[in-house]
Amino acid sequence: MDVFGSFTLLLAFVCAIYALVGGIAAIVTRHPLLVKSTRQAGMATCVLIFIATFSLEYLLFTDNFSQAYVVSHSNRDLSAFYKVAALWSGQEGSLLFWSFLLSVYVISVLIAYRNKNGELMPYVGVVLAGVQTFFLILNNFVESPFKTLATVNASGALEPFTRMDGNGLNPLLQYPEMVIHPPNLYSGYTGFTIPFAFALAALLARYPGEKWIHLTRKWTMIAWCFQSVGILLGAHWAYAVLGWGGYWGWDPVENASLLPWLTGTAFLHSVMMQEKRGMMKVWNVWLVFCTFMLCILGTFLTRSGIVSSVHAFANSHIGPWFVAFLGVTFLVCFVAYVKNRDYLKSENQLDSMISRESSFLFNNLLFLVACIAVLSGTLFPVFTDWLTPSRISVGPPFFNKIMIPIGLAILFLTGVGPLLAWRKTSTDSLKRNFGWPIIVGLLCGVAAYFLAYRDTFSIICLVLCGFVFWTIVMEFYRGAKVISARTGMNVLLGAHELAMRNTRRYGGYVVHFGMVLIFIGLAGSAFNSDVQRPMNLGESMKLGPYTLVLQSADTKAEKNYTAQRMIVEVLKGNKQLMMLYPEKRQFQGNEQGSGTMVAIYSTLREDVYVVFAGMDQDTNLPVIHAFLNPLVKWIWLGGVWVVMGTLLALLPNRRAQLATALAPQPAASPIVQVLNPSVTLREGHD
Amino acid sequence: MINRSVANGVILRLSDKVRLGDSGGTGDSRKTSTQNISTSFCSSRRRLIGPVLTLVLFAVLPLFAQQQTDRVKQIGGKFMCMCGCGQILTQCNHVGCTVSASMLKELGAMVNRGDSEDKITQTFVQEFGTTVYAEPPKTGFSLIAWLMPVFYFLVGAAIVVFFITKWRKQMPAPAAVAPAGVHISPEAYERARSQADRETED
Repeated sequence: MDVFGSFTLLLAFVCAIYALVGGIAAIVTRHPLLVKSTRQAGMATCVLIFIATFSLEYLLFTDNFSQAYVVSHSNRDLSAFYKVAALWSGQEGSLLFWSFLLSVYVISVLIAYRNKNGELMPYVGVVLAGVQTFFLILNNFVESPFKTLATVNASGALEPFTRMDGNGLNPLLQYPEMVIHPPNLYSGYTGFTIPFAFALAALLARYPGEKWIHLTRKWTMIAWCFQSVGILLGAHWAYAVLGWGGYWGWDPVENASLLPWLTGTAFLHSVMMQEKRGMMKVWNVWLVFCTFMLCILGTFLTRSGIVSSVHAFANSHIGPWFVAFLGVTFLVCFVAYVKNRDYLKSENQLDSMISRESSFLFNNLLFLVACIAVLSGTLFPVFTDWLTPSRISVGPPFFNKIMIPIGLAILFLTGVGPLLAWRKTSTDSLKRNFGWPIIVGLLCGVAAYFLAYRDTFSIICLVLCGFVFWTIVMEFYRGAKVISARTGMNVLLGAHELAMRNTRRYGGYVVHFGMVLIFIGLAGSAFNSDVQRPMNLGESMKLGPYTLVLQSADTKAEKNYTAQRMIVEVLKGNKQLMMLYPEKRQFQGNEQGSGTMVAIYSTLREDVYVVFAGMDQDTNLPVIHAFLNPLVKWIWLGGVWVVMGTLLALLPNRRAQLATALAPQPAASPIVQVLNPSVTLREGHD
Repeated sequence: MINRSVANGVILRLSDKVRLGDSGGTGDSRKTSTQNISTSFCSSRRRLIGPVLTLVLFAVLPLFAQQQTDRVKQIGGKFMCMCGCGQILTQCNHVGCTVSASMLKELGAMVNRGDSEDKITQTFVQEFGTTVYAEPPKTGFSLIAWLMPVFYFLVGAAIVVFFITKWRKQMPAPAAVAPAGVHISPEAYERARSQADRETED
């Protein structure tokens, strides 16, 4: 199976080269057969990559310990669940997984548009084949996952051998979220290849209008959603597994995942300027280019060892390959832009400084500044290493100081943007739209103060959360009221109808609501507290309003590990709330030792987060480290709303379907119909 | 780890004092039960010193211990754990990290000794180099790290304002906005456009 996997990967590389070179020839010659054959070569590449990936999974599932990758990342006792995850736990496997996910997108695009957009698709196919070729070079010639173990025999020849068992999977990865976090994050990274391919193809082909934006909108949202979920799952994994009581440590690898998310979010907003007003065409194209290049840069940072991180893969020699690919990508994008920049001529006109357009411009500015700040902070230690004799660390305090104000400004614009009209917003409209949200925001601030959340940034954050929340409520309520008046349905059903009629806009508001919840959770981090001490059985310690009693300890033997478990009772006053079981696991057959399993009692108000931090060297008593982390649950709830909002935005509009059905009916006077007096018109709509 | 050692130290000292106080108190009460109960005001005041001091120490020591712990957390929050995990010293809790444990022990000892923050920082920088700082110092080359985001923002804001101003100048006269032949006020036309935009949005 290893030879088979290796062969299919090589064949995939040949097909990708054909799709790339043949695709360029097809564009030049416009020969229909060549166009068709290169498209089919692109599809064959994907199928062959699928087969190679399943071959590696087969080797993992059948415990083929003649394979270096299987020995390094699996063992006999590893459960089937984690054998799936072993695919992306090592450098070689994760690069193959990259190719696999990219192929899922590529084959979907090639099938979905096989008979459409004939002028554009050959260009798209070439760009996609180019990206696939790069990853197949890595899969075949740099980091092959199909390496057989061999030893040198007496005669000096290589002789294959098989190990009895493998080293096992890294204990930190043996957690359910690690089975779903990397696929989500990689789906985000790879997903941004599709809007990149369409943007570059449209520029190269000088494809008319905003069609490429309409074609890629859903792909961008899907990639963005995966990236968001991947980031949040990673944060939850860090919270629940690493045992340091936090969820975001501004680690270089975490930052690398945030960079394309920031530019991708900026693109999702600025693209509306192009769709509505024909503005910012150059900006949008470069935002997509940058998002893709940041995905590649993030992968480079994770895998090259250029920045130190606990999350990073082992140092390898693939760094120069990524640098070369980034260089080629930038060069192609730059040349395409310079040669075709007249195609991107925009109809840039603004009526007023106080308008939706301006808010989008400032929104984009803040996202970009955030992105550059995170990037420069992440790379600053590397620069100081090169330019000065001493190396500097750039840790969480730096990022917090820089990013908190930027995050709050973005949150402010999240509330302001929807209240401003396209083109121009009148003073009356400002008063009407901003009054109640400001009052609600201030009330939230007062409530936070009396609930003892007394930290300047936290109070500002909660004020803004109240402000944004009320703007969203108002948007839904006003629209629902109109529908309710027209149809007689109640306001809640009206809100549902409203959302289904313009899924993109109201899905966006649901995403904003999710972000409000996430910010509420982040505001709580200023009030984290912790206590750590060795405890005797029956002993208790106070943690805020809670009492933790160490009731007993036991040992639990599982197939792949042995866990030493503390049984900690959580009391509030005299009321027993929960029994928590923090663990320390010792994995068998694993050279990487032990891992923790945090126990959390989670409520909307706070998390009681208990870690068994090992045995005290002096007293030989178990050390319990307990954290009281307010409002953390809101972050995960916010993530759920972000996903729901994105899914809503991906649905087709109900009104659009009706309009299509009614299309043949002649309209006497469109202007008169539009100005139907029964409809309450107002400024500020999308 | 240091929190733990500091706490242990406090518990020991505290219990020692409590025991001393108790014994002193018992001795005094035994004496006061004899015929010398009203010898002089001065001697009774002297006898009260022991229990009062004990009570004061009992009240002050936990506060002192809490202050020491808070100081360890506050100063420790400014350093990185040097094991390469990239975490703040006081937050590093990853399994098997011996570096943070010894660093915290050292920090706790310096705090207990009453060393100033500057002295503690100097000691750590001498021991581990400038990478021990959790954030770049606001001096020398490192100042660039702090100035860069502000610079990006100011340049970006200037560019945004420049383009907004430029695009506003490109705005055609209002009369040209309404199509010829349609007798409708610009305001009503604008509202119609916005509704059309809204309703034709996919």
